[in-house]
Amino acid sequence: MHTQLRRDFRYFGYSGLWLLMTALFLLGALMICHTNDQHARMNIITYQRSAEIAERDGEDIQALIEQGYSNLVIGENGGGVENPIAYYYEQTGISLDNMQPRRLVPLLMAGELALAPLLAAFFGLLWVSADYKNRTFRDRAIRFGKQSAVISRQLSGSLILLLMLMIAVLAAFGFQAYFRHAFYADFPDAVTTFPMSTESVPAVTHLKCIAFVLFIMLLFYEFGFAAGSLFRQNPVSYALVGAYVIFSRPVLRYGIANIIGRFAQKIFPFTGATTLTPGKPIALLPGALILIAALLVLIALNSVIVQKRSAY
Amino acid sequence: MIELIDFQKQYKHNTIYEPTNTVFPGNSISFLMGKNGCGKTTLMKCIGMLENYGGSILFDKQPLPAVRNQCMIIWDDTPCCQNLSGFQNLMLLSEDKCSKKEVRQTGEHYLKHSVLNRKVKTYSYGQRKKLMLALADLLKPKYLLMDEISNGLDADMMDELAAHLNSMKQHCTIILTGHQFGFYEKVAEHVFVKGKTTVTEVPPEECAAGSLEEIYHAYTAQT
Repeated sequence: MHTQLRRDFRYFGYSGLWLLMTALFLLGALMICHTNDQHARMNIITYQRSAEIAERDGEDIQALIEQGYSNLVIGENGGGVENPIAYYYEQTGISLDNMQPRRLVPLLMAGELALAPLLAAFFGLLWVSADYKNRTFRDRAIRFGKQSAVISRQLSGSLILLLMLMIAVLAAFGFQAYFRHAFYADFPDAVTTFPMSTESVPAVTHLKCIAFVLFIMLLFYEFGFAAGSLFRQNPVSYALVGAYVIFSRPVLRYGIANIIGRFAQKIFPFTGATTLTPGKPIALLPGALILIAALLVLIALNSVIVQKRSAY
Repeated sequence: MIELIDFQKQYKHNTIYEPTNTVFPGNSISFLMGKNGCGKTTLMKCIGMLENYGGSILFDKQPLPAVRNQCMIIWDDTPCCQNLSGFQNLMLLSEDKCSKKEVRQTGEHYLKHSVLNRKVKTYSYGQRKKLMLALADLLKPKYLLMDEISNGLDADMMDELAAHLNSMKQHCTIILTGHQFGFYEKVAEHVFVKGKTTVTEVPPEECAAGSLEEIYHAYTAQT
C-alpha cells in the first residue's frame, strides 16, 4: 500500500494535477474571502448613504439605531426593512465579525461546501479513470492486486483532498488578512463605529464544520470515483456527475446534495455571504442515514465494479 | 517456471482454453505462437489475474499473490502515462527500486536523453516499446511476459533485445508471444502453439528440424 501511495502522489506531482487542484481550492478560498469583503463594503456603504440622507433630513442617527428595525413583507415575493439605518448598522457589524480570523474556518467551510462537492466529484472521476485511460491499471493490478489497487487509489485521492482543504484554509487566513487590511484602510472608523461580537467560536464547532466538509468531500469523491469506474473518462461521465451535483438539489428531496443543505443549516454556527442555501425539508435522522448509506454503498460499488470487470 | 494446471477459460459459450496442463520452464525463454485472436494475450491476462479463469496458474509452485512484485508483463499497447515524460514514467513505474541516476542511465541506454524527456504521447510505437524494456531492466522481474515485443523495433534494437533476453534468462522465466518468427528463432528455447482451445509444446527435435514458420503452419493447420 505504501508503495502505491507513493506512486500516486508522484503521479499527482508529475501530471500537473497538483497545480490544477491547488489553483481551484485557492480560487475557492479567495472567492469566499473576497465575497466576505464585498459583503462588508456593501453594508457599510449602504449604511453611510442612509445615514447621510437621514442627517440631511435632520434626523437623529443614534436614536434611529436604538429604535431597531423590523422586516416588512409586501406581497408574496416582496419585502423590505423598516428603518434601514438600524438594519445596516447591525449587518455591517456582522460583516466585520465575519472578517475576523476566529470566524474564518466555519465561514470558509460553509463556502467550501458549495464548491467541494463538484471539485471532489470531478477529482474522483479524473483520479480513477487516469489509470484506465492510460491503461496502467493492468500493470498496477498485476503488481498489487485489483482490490489493493483500487483501495490505494481511493485512499490517496482522499488524502489529496484533505491536503487541498488544509492548503485552502491556510491560504484563506492570508487572503482574509489582506482584505481586512484593505477594508480598514478604506474605512478606518469602522472598527470603533459598529457593534462586533466578542463571542468566541468553540473549538468543537470548528471541528464539526471541518469534519462535515471532509465527509461531504469524501462522499462526492466516491461518487465521482464510481462514475469514473463505470463510464471511464469521457464527456458523458463529466456531464452526468456535474448535472447531478448542480441540478439535483432543487428536485431530489432525498438526494445527497439536498440533504447537505439541510445539515449545513444545523452545523454551521452563523451565516455568511457564501453559505449554502437551505435545501428541501427533510428530517435529520433519515438524512444522516441516507448520507452514511450512500458513502458505504459507493465504496462497496467501487470494489464490486473492479472485481466484476475483467478487461482493462 | 510457470505452470498451468487444469487451466480453462471461456467467454460465455466461447471456449478459449479447454482444461490445459502446460509448464513454461524456468530460467529459459518460451515462445507461444498462434493465430490472431486465438487467445495468447488472454492467457497473459489470466497469468496476471486480470481475467477470471478455471484451474490454477503457479509460479514456481506459488500463486501470483505471493510473487506479484516479481512479475511483469509488457503489453503490445505498452501502457504508460501518456501525459508524462519517458523519464517520469520510469521513475513512477519503477517504484523507487532504483535511484534517479540509475533510472536515467537505464533509460538512456534505450532512448536518447531528449526523447526520454519528451512526453510519451509524442513517442513512436517502437520508442514506447523501448521504454518498457528499460522498465523491465529496472524492475528485474523473475517472471517476464512480453506480448508481441518485437513489433515496432528496429533491426539493431531487435539484435540487442535478443542478446539481452539471453542474458536475462539466467535469473528469469520469460514467455514471449508474437509473429516475427525470424526474431523469435534467435531466442526461443521452448516453443508452444496455441491451437483452437489447447496449448501444445512442440518437441525440441521438431524445433531443431524446421523453422518456426513451418512449425506454425503445420500446427495451426491441424486446428
